[in-house]
Amino acid sequence: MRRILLALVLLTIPGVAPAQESAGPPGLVMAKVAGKGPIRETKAFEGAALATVAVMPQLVATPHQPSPAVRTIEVRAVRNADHAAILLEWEDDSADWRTAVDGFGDMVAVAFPSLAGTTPAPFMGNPGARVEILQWRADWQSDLERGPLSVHELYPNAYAADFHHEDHLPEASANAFRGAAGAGNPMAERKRHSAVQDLMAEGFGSLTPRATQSAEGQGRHDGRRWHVVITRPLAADGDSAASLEPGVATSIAFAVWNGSQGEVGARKGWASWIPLEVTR
Amino acid sequence: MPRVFNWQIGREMDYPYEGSRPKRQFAAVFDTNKCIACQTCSLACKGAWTSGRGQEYMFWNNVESKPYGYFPLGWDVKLLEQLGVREQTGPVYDGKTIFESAPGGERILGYLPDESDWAHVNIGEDDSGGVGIERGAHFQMPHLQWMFYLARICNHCTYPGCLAACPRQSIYKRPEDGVVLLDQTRCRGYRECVKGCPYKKVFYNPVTRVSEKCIGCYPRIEEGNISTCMAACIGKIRMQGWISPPDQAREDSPVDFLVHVRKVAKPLYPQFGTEPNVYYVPPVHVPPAFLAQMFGAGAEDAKAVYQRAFDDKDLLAVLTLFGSTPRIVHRFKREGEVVLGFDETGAEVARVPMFEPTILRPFEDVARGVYRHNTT
Repeated sequence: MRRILLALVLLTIPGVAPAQESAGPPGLVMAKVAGKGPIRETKAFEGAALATVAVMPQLVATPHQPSPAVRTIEVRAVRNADHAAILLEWEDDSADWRTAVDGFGDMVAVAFPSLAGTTPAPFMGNPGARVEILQWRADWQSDLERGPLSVHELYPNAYAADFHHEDHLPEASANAFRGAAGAGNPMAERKRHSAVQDLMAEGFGSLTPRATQSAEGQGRHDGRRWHVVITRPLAADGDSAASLEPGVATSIAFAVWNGSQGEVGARKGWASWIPLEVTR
Repeated sequence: MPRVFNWQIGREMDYPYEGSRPKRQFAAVFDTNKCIACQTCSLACKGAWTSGRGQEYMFWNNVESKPYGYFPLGWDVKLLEQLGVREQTGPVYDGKTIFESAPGGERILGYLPDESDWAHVNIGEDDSGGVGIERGAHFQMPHLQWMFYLARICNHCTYPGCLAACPRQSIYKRPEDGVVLLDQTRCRGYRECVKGCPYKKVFYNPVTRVSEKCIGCYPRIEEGNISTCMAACIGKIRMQGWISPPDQAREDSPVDFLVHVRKVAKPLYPQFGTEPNVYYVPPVHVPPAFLAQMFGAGAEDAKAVYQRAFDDKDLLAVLTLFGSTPRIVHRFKREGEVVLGFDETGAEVARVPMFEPTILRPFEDVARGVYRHNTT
C-alpha cells in the first residue's frame, strides 16, 4: 500500500512518469466552454485536453513530400453554445506571411467527414465520401490585417505602372483586366472576409471551395511556433458542411505546410483521422 | 503510365494522360533569319493581355537573344543540364524526356525559377558568342561571331508539361484547336505548372495568386484571325496555321508544307518531349552543334533547303505568304509567280507576287537631258 502511495506521489512530479504521449485519450475531445459566437482567443482552450498529432510524409499523390518540415501538431478543441474551435500549434521558426513569385505562405488545415459516422479515405476523402476542409492561410490573414500587398510593396524595385484599366472602368468591363479576380476565383479576392477557406473534397485533386464560407480563424507567431485558432458554427449549413452536433462521434484529420520550405498543395505533411468527440 | 507517340522524337514515350490529338492543332512557323527583335510582338501581347496588376513582369511573348539571353534566366540551359547530354543522329531520340526523367515522387523534371530570374526580360540582348561559345566576346579575330533572336510564345504543346504537372487538372487542351489554357477559376496557385513547363511560359501572378499563360488569342482564332503577336510582326517572320501529324500532312497547308514536306521548320528543343507546336526555320549563320541541341536532328538539312529557296518556287511561295494577311491561311496555291492564300471557307485572303517587279532604267535620260544616279 505504501509503495503504491509512493508511486502515485512520484508520478505527480513532472518528468518522473514514464515517457508517454501527452495527456488524455488517443483522440480529440472538444471541451465545452461558456459563451457563444466565434472563438478567437487561445486562452479559451486552457481547459481543453491536448492531443499531439504525428505528421506523416505525403507519399500517396504526386508530387510527394517525403520529409515534411513540420513533425508534430499540438491540438486542442473547444465548443461553446453555437461555435466549435480548434487550436493548432506547431514549430516553425519562420513566419511566412507572403505568397510571392517564388515563395509560399504558411498554412494549416483540418478535415471532417461531411457525414458524421462515415470514414472517408484519409486522403481528403474519396469519390462518394466527402470531407469538409477548413484551411487557415497566413497570406489571407495578412490580407485581412494589412490589406492585400500591392506589386510596389511586394517588389519595391520592380517597374510597375500606376495606371490600371480596372481602376477606370465599370466593374463588368474592369473584370476583363483583373484575371482570376475578375473570374471570381476566391484565391484572388481583394477584400477578404476570413483567413480560413471553407472547402470540400472527395479525394486528392478535387478540392473545391464551398458556396457558403462559414469559417474564421487567426494565427499568431511567437518567433518559434505558430498558434492558430480555426472556428466554425457547430450547426452544419448544408452544402457538405460537416455536422459537429454535440454528442456525435466524428473524426478529424490534419495537414500543415511550411511555405518557406516550398510546401504547398500536395507537398505537405498530413495526419490521418483521429476520433473527435464533441462534448454534450 | 500511358504511352503516347511523339513524332518529333520518333518514338512512344511516357505521359501521365492518354494521348489524344485535337481536331485541329494551333501551330506557327517563325523564320529566325528575319527576326530583328523589334519586340513589337512582345508589346502587342502585353497591351492585349498582360497590362493588369501582377502581370507587370510577364511576357507571354518574348524575344531573347541567343546564345546569352534567356527569359527567365537560363531557362533552357538549366533544364538541359538537368536532363543530361544525349546524342541524336537519326530521327529517333534515344534519351529520356522530362516525363521519363521525373525524379521519384515527382510528375515531371523541372525547376521553379527564383524571383530574380524574371527581373530582366531582355538580359543578354545582342551578346554574341564566338565559335564554341566559351565566353561572351568583345573582339575576336578572325571574325566568326554569331547571335540570333529567338521569339517565343507558349508552344501549345501536344503533350504539355504544364498540364501534366498540375495535380488539380487546372490546365486543359482544347479539342477544337489544341490551344492549352489554364482555368482561372480552378487554379490554387501551387505553381507545379511553372515548374513543369520546360519553356517557362506559365507565369505566377502574385496579386491574384494564381498562374497565367498565353491563351493563343483564342478569341481571335475562333473568328478565323491570327493571334495578336503574329499579326503585329513587322518583319513578317511568322506564319500561323494548323499542323497535322506527319502521316496526315496536307501539301497545300502552309505549316504542314514547311514542317513536313520541305522539313525547313523545326521544333524547339524536341528532346524535352512535349511535342511543341511552334516551329523555327533555323538561323543559317549559327554553328551546327548549337542548332542540333536547340532544333534537333535535321537542323543542318533545314538550313540547306532554306538557302535554296530562290530556286524552289513552292517554298518561295509559302515564305512570301508570311505576314500577308491577318486571317489564318488554311490553304495556299502558287499560280506562276503569284501565291494565293485561302481561309477556312475557301475565300481568298491573300494574293502576293513572289517577285518585286524590276524596272531597269538607262543611265542617260534622253528626254530630260539628265543622268540618273544611283544615290540614296
